Amino acid sequence: MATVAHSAGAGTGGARLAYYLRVLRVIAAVEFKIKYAGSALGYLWSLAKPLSYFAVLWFVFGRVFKTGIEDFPAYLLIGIVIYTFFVDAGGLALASVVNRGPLLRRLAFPPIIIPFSVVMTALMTFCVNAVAVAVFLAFSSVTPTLEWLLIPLLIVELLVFVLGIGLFLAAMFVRFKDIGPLWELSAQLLLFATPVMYPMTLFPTWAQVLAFLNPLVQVMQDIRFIILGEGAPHLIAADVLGGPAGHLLPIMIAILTFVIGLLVFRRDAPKFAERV
Amino acid sequence: MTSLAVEASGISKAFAIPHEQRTNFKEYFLHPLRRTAFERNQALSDVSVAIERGEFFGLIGPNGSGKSTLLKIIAGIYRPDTGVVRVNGQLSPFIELGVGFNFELSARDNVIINGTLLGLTRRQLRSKFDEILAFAELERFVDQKLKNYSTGMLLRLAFSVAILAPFEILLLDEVLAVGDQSFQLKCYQTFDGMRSEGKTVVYVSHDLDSVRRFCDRALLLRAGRVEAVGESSEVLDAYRVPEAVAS
Repeated sequence: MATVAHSAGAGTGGARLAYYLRVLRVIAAVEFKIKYAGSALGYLWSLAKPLSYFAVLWFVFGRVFKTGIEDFPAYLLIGIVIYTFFVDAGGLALASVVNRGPLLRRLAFPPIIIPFSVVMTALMTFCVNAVAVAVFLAFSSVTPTLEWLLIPLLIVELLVFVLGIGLFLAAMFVRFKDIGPLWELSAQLLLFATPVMYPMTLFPTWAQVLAFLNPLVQVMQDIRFIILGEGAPHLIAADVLGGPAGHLLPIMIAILTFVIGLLVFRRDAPKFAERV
Repeated sequence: MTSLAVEASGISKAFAIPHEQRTNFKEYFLHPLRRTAFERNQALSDVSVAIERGEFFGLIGPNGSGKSTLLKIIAGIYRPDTGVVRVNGQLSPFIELGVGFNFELSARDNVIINGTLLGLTRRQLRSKFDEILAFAELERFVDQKLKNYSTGMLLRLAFSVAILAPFEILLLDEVLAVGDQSFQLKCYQTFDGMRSEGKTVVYVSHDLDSVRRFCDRALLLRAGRVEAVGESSEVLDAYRVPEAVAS
């Protein structure tokens, strides 16, 4: 039997939660700051990656192999920014616990704060990118509608999904260093396996069903549908997975992923300080 | 209401050291049936200690005797294999100074980072910022990156933040090894101040003179077992005797 009780005046639940939130914020801010510390362009670098993807893919699929999508530049840009957020958040979370070994061995705090913090860092970068998308859309013929209010909810769904994946990866990376290259490979394949640069309609039906079980694909298509409307071949999950009820399926998968990630992380967390 | 600040009984902790590090899949695929050979390093065996409220308590012993492991278990960083730890009072969450220091960032940023991790709020940090820098005597270097700081400067900065952290029980692992005469004097005055405020300090050190000077009681660990506990002067003598015999 092993018990550790930190009682009486160790801070009420509320005070402790406030402390954890401050720790979360400071870790997220440091991650954001350190990424570009000492670079001349600073935060502008966070725009460089999606924009250079955009330039190359727009040339290849907008000019050389025409996809026939109306508003292709906007379609592509939205896809890239969402994909980049997903890959960034997953990658940052993956190494987050291992990278903070010294902190874990010197400070008593719940390690779960760490992956949450770095996903917040990725979210900050995403927000910078989203501003760029908004500027781009302002110059094209798109007009905002009330439906746009659904976009933050879809981002929250994506956040839940990527947090689940991040918690799982972060915990597994402590034990298996193979998770690093494995994730890198998956991220690269995902760029082609999700409809970032081509329309979903090119897929055979079975592949569409498979793809739409991925919450990343569902969120990406929903956001495109909301912003760009019916014009482009915007399949959404409801079209493929059997109506509005089917549309809930990827959302359930996002929640399930989060629960699994949380359980795996919580199982391993007490041993992180001695294993990392 | 107990008068004990920290109460630990029957604490044991072993670390498993795998003989061949098996941290990638290849190992599992190539030798799925082979069990990794583990060496168990028994860091602590059945250690019990009771620390009174308002006491300055020293943990001493040779390298590898389990001092830091015990401190980490009290702090809640490691989980003991067996035993019970009870802490009454607000425990400092850190055991070393300069937690979270980032060498690529300025001292200004690092005071905020370190201070936040130690439990200070943003408002407290803003109002105490000048005080921290003044105590550390580093006002001139506030915008320099920490990588350009000397070890002594780092210690001064870290100590100056740490003493403002909110705590009733402070755990410290080997902190005053560096730092010049005048700063050590400042530290000693700070400790005296903590004593008069009735704070509890658990202090791991190889600096036996500082243990003698500050600690009311001490605990001597050897190979993970308690060898002596009591008045610090007696425990220090117990620590020195075997050495004297050896020489």
